[in-house]
Amino acid sequence: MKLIKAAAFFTVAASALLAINAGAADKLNDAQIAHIAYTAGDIDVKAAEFALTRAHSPAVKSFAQDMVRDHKAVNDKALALVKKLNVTPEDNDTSKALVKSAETKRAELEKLSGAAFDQAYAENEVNYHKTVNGALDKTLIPSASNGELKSLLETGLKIFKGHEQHAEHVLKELQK
Amino acid sequence: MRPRAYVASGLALASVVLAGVALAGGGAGGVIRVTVGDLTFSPASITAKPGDTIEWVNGDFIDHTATDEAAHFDIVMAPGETQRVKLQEPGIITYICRYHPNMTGRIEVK
Repeated sequence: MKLIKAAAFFTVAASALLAINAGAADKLNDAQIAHIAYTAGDIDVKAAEFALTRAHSPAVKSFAQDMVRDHKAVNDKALALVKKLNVTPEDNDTSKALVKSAETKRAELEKLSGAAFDQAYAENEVNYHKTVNGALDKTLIPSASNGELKSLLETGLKIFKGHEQHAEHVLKELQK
Repeated sequence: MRPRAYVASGLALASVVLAGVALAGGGAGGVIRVTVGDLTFSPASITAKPGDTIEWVNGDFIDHTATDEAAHFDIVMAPGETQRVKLQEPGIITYICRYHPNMTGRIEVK
């Protein structure tokens, strides 16, 4: 049952991001790309802040602190960049779908506690980062027009790939 | 044998665990700089002598640490910050960034 729910969530989240591969990518402008990237980071900050109130494992708590610290730093950098470029991040269907998926997942996580929460949060972090990293790599970075935005997204991808590996390690430790 | 080390400077010191070692300042030895950038320690592997100081400079816009896996030192570096550790004895140190454990470094002290 849990697996089915998780699969359903990731299908929705992945669809939101991967839909931009199917013809919509060439329509994304930098303002929309910036909004998607910022939204994806903000979702993970909020998930981590919630995890800090609910997690049991010290490793999960530490990981959540890392997510808050890094994603806030990247988003602060993104906000400074769009201000410098005089670009207003533009809400779009992909950002909306990401937020909706995150709300669904949050509702699931709120029902859990203890080891079950730790496991579900860590699983979500692995899959969420995989999905976002795939979208950055395959679509958002190649579609970005501005060199500074592209560079920031590339740096973000390096950071988030590290998060993905870190989350996988945490999950593996939880399963021992 | 584990090399003895202590943090010679740094404002964001998280912890230094090395019982029985005096925090004597000064002394001979060079400074070896390790740049922290793009989520890597560069150079990732260095050779040093007892008395040398390792200086990490964080060029990224996110926080990093240099954390000895044997817990002899654990320094936190804010963006743009520099932190130093002085090496005391021969041995091999492997260290990571606690926040980004895929970042690894090695110091051979001989």
